[in-house]
Amino acid sequence: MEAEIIGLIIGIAALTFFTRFAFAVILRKTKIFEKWGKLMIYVPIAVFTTIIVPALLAPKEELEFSIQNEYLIAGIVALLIAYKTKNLVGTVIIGISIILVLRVLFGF
Amino acid sequence: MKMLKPPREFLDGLKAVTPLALGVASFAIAYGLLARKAGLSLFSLTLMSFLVFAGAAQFLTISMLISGAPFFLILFTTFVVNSRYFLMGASLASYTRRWGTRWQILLSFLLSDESYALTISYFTKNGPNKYYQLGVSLGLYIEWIILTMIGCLVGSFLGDPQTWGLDFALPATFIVILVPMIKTWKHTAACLITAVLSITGLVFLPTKWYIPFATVLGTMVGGVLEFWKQK
Repeated sequence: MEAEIIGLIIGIAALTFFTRFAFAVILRKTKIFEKWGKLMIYVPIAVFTTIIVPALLAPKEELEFSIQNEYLIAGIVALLIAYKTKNLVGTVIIGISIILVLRVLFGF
Repeated sequence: MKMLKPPREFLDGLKAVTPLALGVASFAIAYGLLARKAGLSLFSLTLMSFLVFAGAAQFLTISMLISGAPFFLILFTTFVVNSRYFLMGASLASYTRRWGTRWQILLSFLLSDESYALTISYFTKNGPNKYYQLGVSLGLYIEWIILTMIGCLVGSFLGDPQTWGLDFALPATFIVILVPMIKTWKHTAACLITAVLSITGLVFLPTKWYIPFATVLGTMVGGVLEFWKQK
């Protein structure tokens, strides 16, 4: 079993490295950036939106679009704090506190 | 021999990682805990952190092992989850293309959501710097390995980070990183459309396919908005 797991891990590692490395090599000798450079500023926006939104709306893998969803409420507050202050640690701590308060005091 | 002093940017990169510690820690501990439950040895779960170094893919692998999924399906699903790295690599390539192959290999191997977030914000402000990216990446790598081991060893005493709401730390971190990137109405539109795409994909597509679906289409929507207004 252990040997099989290690084989699997090496397989995943190889695939993961490929996804990270492929475009760094393929694209560096091209002139793609002169034409498509402006598109690239949308990559971080699309990637992080795709990470954040499902984490807030479907924290337990299933869509939970309601005010009973503590992650959604904390997420909206975090968005406002981030917009006002850009403070990373403060936003994280206030967000987690909101989740805990909602769970402990309001039984979410 | 000259004293080897690390460049200032390298130290800046290491420092930039510290506020992310809580988010990375809760994820790493949850992974270590779950991997232990799945019956993985300390050796294998640490090896995975060493070689794969991708939280979402590692977490998914463990959950699929627990549910008894066949290996090829695990490989395929982790590939789908990691497909976002193609886009991240492409967007970094415009900054990193002049660096040597060895640097490309090293920094690509260490690429993660968190290091990408810090690096791309830094590059757009200060221009590309490989030492900064290395500092950020190595800091996160070492933190990830140590904390997954801690999660495995003492996780059962700490309990599941989810009960403490700690799993909110990562999305909150990415919110703080995303918000300053949105400067124009086109950015806002691309963000909102990606949000709708990700949820649509989550509901209607098989496991994790929403990631390539929403990231690729979301980027293209941004591109269309950008070029359309130019003409």
